[in-house]
Amino acid sequence: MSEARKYKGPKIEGGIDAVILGATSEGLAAAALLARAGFHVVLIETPASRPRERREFAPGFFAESGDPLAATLDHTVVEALDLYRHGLAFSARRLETLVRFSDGAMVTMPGDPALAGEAVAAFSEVDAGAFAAFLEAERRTARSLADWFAGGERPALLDGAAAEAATASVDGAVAGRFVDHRLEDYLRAEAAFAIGARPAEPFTYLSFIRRLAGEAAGLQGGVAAIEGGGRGLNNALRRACQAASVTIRQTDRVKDVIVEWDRVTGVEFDDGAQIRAPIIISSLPAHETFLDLVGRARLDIEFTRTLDIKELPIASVRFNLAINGPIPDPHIAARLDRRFLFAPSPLEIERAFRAAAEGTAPEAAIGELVFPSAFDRALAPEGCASATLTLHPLAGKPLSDDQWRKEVSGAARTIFARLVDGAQIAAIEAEEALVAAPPLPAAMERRARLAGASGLEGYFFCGPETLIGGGVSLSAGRRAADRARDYFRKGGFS
Amino acid sequence: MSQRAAVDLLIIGADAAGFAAAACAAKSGASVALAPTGGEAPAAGSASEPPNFIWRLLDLHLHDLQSGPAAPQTTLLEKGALSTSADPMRTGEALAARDPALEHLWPAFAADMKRAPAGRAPEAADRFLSANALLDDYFADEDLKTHLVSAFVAPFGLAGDEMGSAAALAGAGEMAHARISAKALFDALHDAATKAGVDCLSGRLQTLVRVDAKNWKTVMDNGHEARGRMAMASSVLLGEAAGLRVSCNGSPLVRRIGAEAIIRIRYDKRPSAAALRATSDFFTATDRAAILRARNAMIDGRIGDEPVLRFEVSGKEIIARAPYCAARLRENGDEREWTGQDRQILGRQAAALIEKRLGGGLGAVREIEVTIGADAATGLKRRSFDVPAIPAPAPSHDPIGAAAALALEIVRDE
Amino acid sequence: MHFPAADDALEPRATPLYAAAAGLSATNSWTSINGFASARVYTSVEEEYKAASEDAALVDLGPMRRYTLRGKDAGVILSRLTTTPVAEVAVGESARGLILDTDGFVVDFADLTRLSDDLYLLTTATPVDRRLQLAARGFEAEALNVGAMVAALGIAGPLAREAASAAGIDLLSADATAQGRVRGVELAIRPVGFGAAPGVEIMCPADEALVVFERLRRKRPLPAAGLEALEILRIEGGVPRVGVDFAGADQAGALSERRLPNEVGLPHLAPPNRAWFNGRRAMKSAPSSGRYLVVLSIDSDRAAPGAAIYAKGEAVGRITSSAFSPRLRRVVAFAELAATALDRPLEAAIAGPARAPARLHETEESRRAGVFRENLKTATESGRSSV
Repeated sequence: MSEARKYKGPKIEGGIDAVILGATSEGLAAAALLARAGFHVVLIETPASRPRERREFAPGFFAESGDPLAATLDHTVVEALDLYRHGLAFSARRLETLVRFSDGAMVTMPGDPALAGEAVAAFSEVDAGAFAAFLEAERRTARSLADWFAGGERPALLDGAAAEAATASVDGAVAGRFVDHRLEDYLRAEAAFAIGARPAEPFTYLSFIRRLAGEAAGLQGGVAAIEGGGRGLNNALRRACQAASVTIRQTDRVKDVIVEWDRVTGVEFDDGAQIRAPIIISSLPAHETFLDLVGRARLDIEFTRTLDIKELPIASVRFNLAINGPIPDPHIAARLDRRFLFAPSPLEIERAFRAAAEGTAPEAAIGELVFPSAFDRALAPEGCASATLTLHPLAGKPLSDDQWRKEVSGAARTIFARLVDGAQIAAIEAEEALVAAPPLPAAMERRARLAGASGLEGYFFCGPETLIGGGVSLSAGRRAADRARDYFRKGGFS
Repeated sequence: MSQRAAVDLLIIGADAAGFAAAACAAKSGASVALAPTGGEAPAAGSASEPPNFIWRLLDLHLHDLQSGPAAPQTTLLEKGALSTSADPMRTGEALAARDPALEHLWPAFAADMKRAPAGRAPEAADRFLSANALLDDYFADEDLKTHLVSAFVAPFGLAGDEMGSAAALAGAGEMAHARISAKALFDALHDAATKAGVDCLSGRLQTLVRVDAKNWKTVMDNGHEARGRMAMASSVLLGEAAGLRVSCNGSPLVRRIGAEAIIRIRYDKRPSAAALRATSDFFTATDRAAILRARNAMIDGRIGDEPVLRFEVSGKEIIARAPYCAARLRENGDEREWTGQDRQILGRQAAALIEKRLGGGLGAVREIEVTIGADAATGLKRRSFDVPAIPAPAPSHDPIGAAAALALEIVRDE
Repeated sequence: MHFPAADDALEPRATPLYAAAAGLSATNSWTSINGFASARVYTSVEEEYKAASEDAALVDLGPMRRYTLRGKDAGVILSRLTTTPVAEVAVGESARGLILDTDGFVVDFADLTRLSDDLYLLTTATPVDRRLQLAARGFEAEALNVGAMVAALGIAGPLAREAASAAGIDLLSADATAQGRVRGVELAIRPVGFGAAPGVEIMCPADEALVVFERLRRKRPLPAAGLEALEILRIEGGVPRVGVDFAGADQAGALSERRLPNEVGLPHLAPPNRAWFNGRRAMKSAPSSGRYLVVLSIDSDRAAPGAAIYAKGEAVGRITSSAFSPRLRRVVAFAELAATALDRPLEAAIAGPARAPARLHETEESRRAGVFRENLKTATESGRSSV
């Protein structure tokens, strides 16, 4: 069992090699990896990073917190931590995606992207060959860039002649390729999901490639449903931490990080207690990690400037829906254990971005839908279903605003109705709003810059701003652990 | 019909930039052919001087170009006007009346913007910033930010909220080129090109195809053909409007939607108003939200409520350009072309707005002529993905210089 | 006090002291520094140099950039922005330092004076408005550019303090800034250096500048020293000039033109083991370009900037700025040399194929830099942090 007691003890605690701040997936991954490498690791679980229990959001209907799908899980972490042995399981791998278009038409994309050509042939025969060829070429590009996405070196192939690709927009890459424009809508929906820029804007094409590079359950570009949703992954990571002897402490807020000369030497709590350690890895948001815990007075001017530049006010919002009775739509009900995607028209996406900029709820948006009850019967009463719908793009307003929550829930109902004809929604809960990442090159640049931690030695960052595109990946945790390990081995501190 | 020997360089686009590129390449010793696309807008009003290297190469001093002084940029806001010029210190002093800190912050901004394109790391954070985010980081004065967006970002057809649009502000404090008549410049460049031996093809470009896996071939609508070892377009917009695949090695400033409308308003007498006494490039914009609204109307395919304009006085005429113009109008879900009536609506809107911002008293309007420019989205509609793309200069505030520089680079790389 | 490189402003503006300076100028030889008219020579370079190095001479310090920071966090902001140990500066004291960018390269010099508990005066050679705006963001303090409101008159020379006292303006001590009144004008006086010569700086409201000037000149008609004379003193003192001897990091055209404090001969102005400052971490780990600024004395009557320096026939560097020293009867020059050449016998190209021997010339700054490097080495070796 993990140690979960209120911390009380000596004022200053030493003998610890690394302190991890935040029990997010990235933080847990970093902690477990370091512990397995022989470090004495303490993980501080701040109240905000504590995942919520499975909760009843409507009578008889339950929801797990976190993203139920995984598209970009870093397989080296999964293997290194032996997460399958610790309970990571997939309710379904290689999820098929049923795509619904703005005009009601549908196409089913197979779980294995290599088989996409056949699926498209059923929808638009003339485009089948071109679509398959296009997807294959993009997947090849994605594979060659996978290392860069996971935190490695930027490949030289993106300079010079291929610089066009780095600046290209999704629209520029897909428009005019296929006779049936709806295939473009599908690609656009996949590419633009969770990215905070319009598909017509530059730099967004690489986000699309990133989508294709992600790997889940051993399949590049495939999507898997995690058993137990986001909490299932979190639990597996916790068990991996326990197995590696990571001490997990629940505590009051960390007040600040102790900096001596140019390196971090520990953390201090609100009550004055301290933990001394040469390595601190923070999985908390960048604002908290740097401005709150270290303070501007200790950070380079150019570094804090980039933290100050206003973020895009665009978010993806995840909703849980309680569906009374059976699903009437036969196309959907045929197999509920799939992924469903609503791919709106370009104009609807443009309007959604506009609404997001103005702070109102859109009429249509990209929607990703799964039925967790199809994978775990206990989540809904007999004959009913629970659904998780993620909409993008929406304004990044806080869900604590009642009026806003009502407005976006209304949008969720509308999109759900367009995806699933005639279902009876008993209840709807807006669970979480996730700030959208900027398009890939900008996100990569941001990640590299934040990893520098303004030159503070021993301070490593794997917070939400290291996410490149949507979906949990564990790569950031892995990179932070690798760099912390190298730093420790270089020595030079007592 | 007639077949010529393959030239070194084929240039698509017979606008000023195309002629400048052709003339410079020819002067460097290459054989050049120039193919008009038919989409070139006629030269009107004044243009900024080409950079010095073009003067030298083409001996432009032999043409009587009569440069006027460099004009400042002035945005006519609802209440008052705001000007910036190429002299950072003077501009800083003028802006100090609005906010004393601007006196020194403006020259710092101008210097930063001048340095931006050259020499910095390719992944620097500012490369991905939107113009709005960059301006919010420097300044608090909303009117100044409105002016900078309308004067430096809007001409690209961007509204300032697009990723990477901060690149449009490069050179914002230092555009110091003197003004000359666009027609005189065009004629001079045309003349220079002809004298340098450029083969100016007749007719309009029908297609550009690849032959022998090595050469390009232009086929004109009158049957003429020309072959060249290398090809380039004088601008991305012109090339894509002609149905070609064009690449500028990735620039976030490429216009992706809409068109620029040119509105020529002819008065009975030369327009005169207090604001017009000093020569200037004039802009109209109410605030940044209005700029976004105008851009959104362009995407929607509507004529917006208030056009964002750039205008200048030329004799008895005011020549205005509206950068956020829908290429095609959308009504009841259907797309249609611009009718004469639509053009008149836009023209009258522009005339009324200019009159209001100048404080009235311009006199009677004799005639309004509206031309809708090339549709930036043409390139997205006709794609031939197997043909390699031809290079074009990246959009910039100096299209003539950029085109000529690209042409020289292409022929020197031989 | 070290002016930046001259700029090419077409219409330089007048400093508050311009009228007085113009009156003293016999040669009418001007240039523009930071957009302000600055006299190059008043009467003759030799006379001005003699006065400034042995007696006292007036210097119009108007073109320098001045800022005030007032507020609770003023000290914190300055401590972050400049390398001066702000926390150790008491009220009335001044400190010299540098401003570095986030990669550890030198942006400019920073001269700090603490006028009261929460009021500081910052003097730099080049404009740093933007940098100050960013540094002050998120803190409780107000930063103002006061260049237009403040006039600054310098007196260079060993007898500067006497000249000031004679006019009724006294320094409290060798280091402190004194504030007082002269004929009803509020002013502040502090010690500053002019390269090889000591001196003082008198600051007063811009519209009272001429009153103070008259007061100083009434007791003894002090001569004025122009930029050319100050150049000789500057080089003799070993103070490099931004924009001439090295490119300030914010003005550098290419990233490779930037220089670290150690490379411009000023490691003692950016001590890595005292207070933290912007760019300190990067500075400690930055790779050196392998080129260093040093002062050479060249056995010749003239040697032009840009001339090459040779060691055993091989070009190892070039002169960045030079001046003929009437005292040493030879040229003193700043030169950027490859690190490997620093201990070899050197020659400078003077005219055509002719070369003259050149030697490393020890200056006040190079002496301080040497002491600093020694201390740092001992401290690092013994594992203690040095002071």
